[in-house]
Amino acid sequence: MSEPGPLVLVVEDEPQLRRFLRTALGAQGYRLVEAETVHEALIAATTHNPELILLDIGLPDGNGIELTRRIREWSRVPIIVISARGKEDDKVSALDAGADDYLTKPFGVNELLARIRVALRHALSAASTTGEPVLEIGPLRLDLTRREVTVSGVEVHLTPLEYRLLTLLAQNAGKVLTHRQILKEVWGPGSANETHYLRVFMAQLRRKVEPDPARPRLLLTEPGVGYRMRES
Amino acid sequence: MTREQPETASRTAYAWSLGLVVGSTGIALLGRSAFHLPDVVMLYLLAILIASFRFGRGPSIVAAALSVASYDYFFVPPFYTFSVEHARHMMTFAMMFGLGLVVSNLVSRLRQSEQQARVREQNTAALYALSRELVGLPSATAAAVIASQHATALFGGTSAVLLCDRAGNLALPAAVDPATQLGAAELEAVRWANEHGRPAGAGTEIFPAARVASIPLAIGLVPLGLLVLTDPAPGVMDSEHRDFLEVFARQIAFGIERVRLAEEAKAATLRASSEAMRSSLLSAISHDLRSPLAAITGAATALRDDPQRLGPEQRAELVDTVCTEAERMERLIANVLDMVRIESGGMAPHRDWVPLEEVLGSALVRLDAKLQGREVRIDLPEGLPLVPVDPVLFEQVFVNLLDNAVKYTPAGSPIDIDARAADRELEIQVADRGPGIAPDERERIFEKFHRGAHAGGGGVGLGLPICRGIVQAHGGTLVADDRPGGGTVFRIRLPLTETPPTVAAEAPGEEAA
Repeated sequence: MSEPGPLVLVVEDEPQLRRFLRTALGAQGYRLVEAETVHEALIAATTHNPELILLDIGLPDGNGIELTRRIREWSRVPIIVISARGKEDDKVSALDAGADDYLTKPFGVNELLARIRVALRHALSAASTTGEPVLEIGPLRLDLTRREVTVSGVEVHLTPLEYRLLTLLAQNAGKVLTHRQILKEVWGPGSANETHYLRVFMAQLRRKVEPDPARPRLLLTEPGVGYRMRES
Repeated sequence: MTREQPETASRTAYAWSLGLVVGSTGIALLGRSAFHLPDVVMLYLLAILIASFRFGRGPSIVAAALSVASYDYFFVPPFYTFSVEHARHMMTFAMMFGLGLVVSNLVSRLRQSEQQARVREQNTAALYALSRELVGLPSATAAAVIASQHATALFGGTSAVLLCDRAGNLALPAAVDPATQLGAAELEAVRWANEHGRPAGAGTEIFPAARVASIPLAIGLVPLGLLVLTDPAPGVMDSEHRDFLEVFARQIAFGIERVRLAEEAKAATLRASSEAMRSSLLSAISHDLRSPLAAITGAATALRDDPQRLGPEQRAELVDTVCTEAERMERLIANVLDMVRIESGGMAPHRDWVPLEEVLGSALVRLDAKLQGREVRIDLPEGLPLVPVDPVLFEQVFVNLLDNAVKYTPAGSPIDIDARAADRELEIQVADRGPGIAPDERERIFEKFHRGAHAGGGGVGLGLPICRGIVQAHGGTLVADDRPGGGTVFRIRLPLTETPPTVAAEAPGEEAA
């Protein structure tokens, strides 16, 4: 490693999981700061100024959701929460509180690295205000300046809402967006709870852009949480 | 208990008595030529008798006195004066009046005992009705509501039954009419009655000024609650009705106690069945977790202790073993946790209106690797309504059913999924072309830890029970059936009681892209 890799703050109270993260992330060139509690995490976040935070929701002295909210008061650092299976509500709360993504225990190293990569990339592109004018994800191509959508070279006609939905997800490719976040962005803040609207439009959109709408490969469902566009 | 007719007869009764005497006098005067004196006496006696039977004691005494006076005035010489010639007439007056008194006494005693019998009968009927309705209730609160309704009907005003918790502390009002705001004096009376186990409030010596009368409900020394009568009918707390009130209160106490005992028995049964659950879980865990764990330990130690002697292929294989066995353990633990949640009733579906294709789609994507080489045909009718399900749980149902189909049917055989919405019901079928399931096995496959006859291994026999548990938590049913032409069909039926929301299409014409 010629230049030091990104600094990751790992907030995790289980030593075995910390050991795994240390090994797996270290091998990829990431530098690590570790914290075991909410208290330590807050101190580490302010003193080390990490480029990414990996945060377990269940901590001995508090809750990762609350910690996310507090960090978001002053920092836009990407936060990936780690949560147990079956705790979809926790994931949604953490994401709505400002976390960027989540991992469900147990997770593989590939998934971990992919999530970190996506989160770091989005943090970078958010900093540079000029977004990509053309997005390409698999067979899907979005030309934002010409408002043109093609799948495998064939032009697809979308309604305004479908187009807004697709661009939102494509601009956040690889990142999960909660139902609430999507509804607020596409339908406006008054519709944040009308999830069935979103589901119906998502089904329509899939029929137009997915090669096999019954088995979506581009617009992925995160059950109980939201949707995620496949990483480009 | 019924409120008795007032003993003091009304003015009308006295008027009627007067009328009877006047009538008798009239008849006697008209028939004067034909009647002898004893006939006239008889006529008056009849009037007195009628008065005592119909109108009670007072009016009958008045009738007797009036009869004597009229008899003397009109029929005893000298006529039209109250003076009497012969002493024997005095005897007749005394007899007439005396007879009137005796008869009216007899009659009123008869009436009293008759009335008491009627009150007793009504009280018994009221108690019977109460005890009958207090049977088989789901909760002590329900018993309190029923009891307070009965009390209101019997005692007037508004009634409430307040329940104590197990520690004897008075709980929140179980059934209080919100219109009846209790004041400080009332609350004091309620508190006192609860603390001392004796009636307090209106009609008692303690806090008599309170608007409520509160009667403790207890079995032996165990306080169960309070019967609180707000503005009851007057006289309810009198000594003559107190007995009934106490029996009534005891009946309520019995009813509440019975419900509580039933609740405890149910909890005990639940504990026992979760006890059984725990032991079968333990055996499943000890066996089914140990085998993948053994494989992982073996592979991992080989990699750690003997890396030089392993070729790259062997090493890859061992690493692969660690990964797949760890995944198997994860699945098992997830299943066991789901089952425990279903068993403990902790699986409350977060329902949402969801297109079925979304739930199916995410299940298919999740099982992508396993479904390689399988043809999964999906047939959803155009315009299938949104379904009210928990998308996370229902994805699990489809994952388990598909996983099951992959496990128990020949590689490469197709799986068909279809759905249709009938009248207030949604039917979803997952069908395979496998060997089918014997009729006597079709229910048993939904039992916990039951493994199929030709199990390919890997499962613990929780997948299908979890599916059924989830579907049932949604108010639906899941059964396995024979498939015409060979194979098995798993059929989910879900009630569609609410009208699904419709999502208006966007205004056409303007295209964004």
